[in-house]
Amino acid sequence: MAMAIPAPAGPSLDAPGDSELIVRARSGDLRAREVLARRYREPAYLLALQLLGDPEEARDLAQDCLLRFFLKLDRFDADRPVLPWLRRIVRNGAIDLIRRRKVRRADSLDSSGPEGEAVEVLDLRADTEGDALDRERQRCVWACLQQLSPAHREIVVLRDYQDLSYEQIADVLGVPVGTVMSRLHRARNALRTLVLERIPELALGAAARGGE
Amino acid sequence: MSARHPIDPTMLTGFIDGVLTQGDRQRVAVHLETCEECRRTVEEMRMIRDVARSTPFRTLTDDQWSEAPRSSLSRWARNAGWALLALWLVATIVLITVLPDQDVDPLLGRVMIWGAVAGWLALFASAALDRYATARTDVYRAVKK
Repeated sequence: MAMAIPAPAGPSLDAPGDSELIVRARSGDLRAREVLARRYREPAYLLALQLLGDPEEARDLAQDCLLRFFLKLDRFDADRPVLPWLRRIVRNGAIDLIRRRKVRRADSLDSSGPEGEAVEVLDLRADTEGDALDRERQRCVWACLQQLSPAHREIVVLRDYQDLSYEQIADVLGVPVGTVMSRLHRARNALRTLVLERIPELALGAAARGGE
Repeated sequence: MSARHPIDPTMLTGFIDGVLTQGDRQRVAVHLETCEECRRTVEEMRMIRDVARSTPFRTLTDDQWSEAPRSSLSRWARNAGWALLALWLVATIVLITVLPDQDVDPLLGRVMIWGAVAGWLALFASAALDRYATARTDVYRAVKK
């Protein structure tokens, strides 16, 4: 028996494509703006959080980048994908903030902050003992990541946390694709050294896995 | 590259990510069969990458998104304001309860008054900065105009 399904009251959150939403938002459709903002605020926030390590700074940066997107909407090519553009401006904004943070620290001689482990940004709920071990490793790798130089940190974030391809990373960083692999290798080596200092058993685990 | 490691070490990263050409991948695979050091490097890097990929991050709720954005200057002004007012309150309590019969040094009195005023001004500045940031990041501002 066929059932009558009531039609949704407004436009679906996920159905319309970006170009359609951008065109509608340009003509003053507030709903389209809201859908765009909801769609892209989380990717922008997560990238900012992973680059900066500070939830409040990350939220402010994500909001700032979305604002820039909406202010440029009239000139934005509706057929152009939003996410690569957004990643670039989030990354550039994060670099500016890190530079300013360095100047402030130099002025105040304050060494505490997001580089430490006090700011909790990971969702570390663990249901089992295995989960607890995984969470401990995740926390450790994250803490070591905060100790890398900004250039090393950003490339590890883009590849290993954001799971971007080498081409996408080259686009975000504005470097040739060939540079990505060598830079990533140096960054991963630096991270590996720091992680092994904290959890030497990772080396044993890797050796056991390699021998399988 | 060296006699011991006849491959470019950066190729290990390309090998982990599966971006090498078939020829390069085979060269690395052959080298890994005989080189314990490079094999360990690959496994450790792979484990760290897997840990990173599986890391869950806290996301923001709708309420947190709608909170007024605060600049670092605003946070600094707010903290300084509350610190000054707390100091003023402690100093006042000490003067009233512990040293009720003592004459207050006029300089100390002036410092206390100006400290309290500075505290209130810092809190006011923080609130003003928050209002400015909220107005600036209102995505509907351009439409409202």
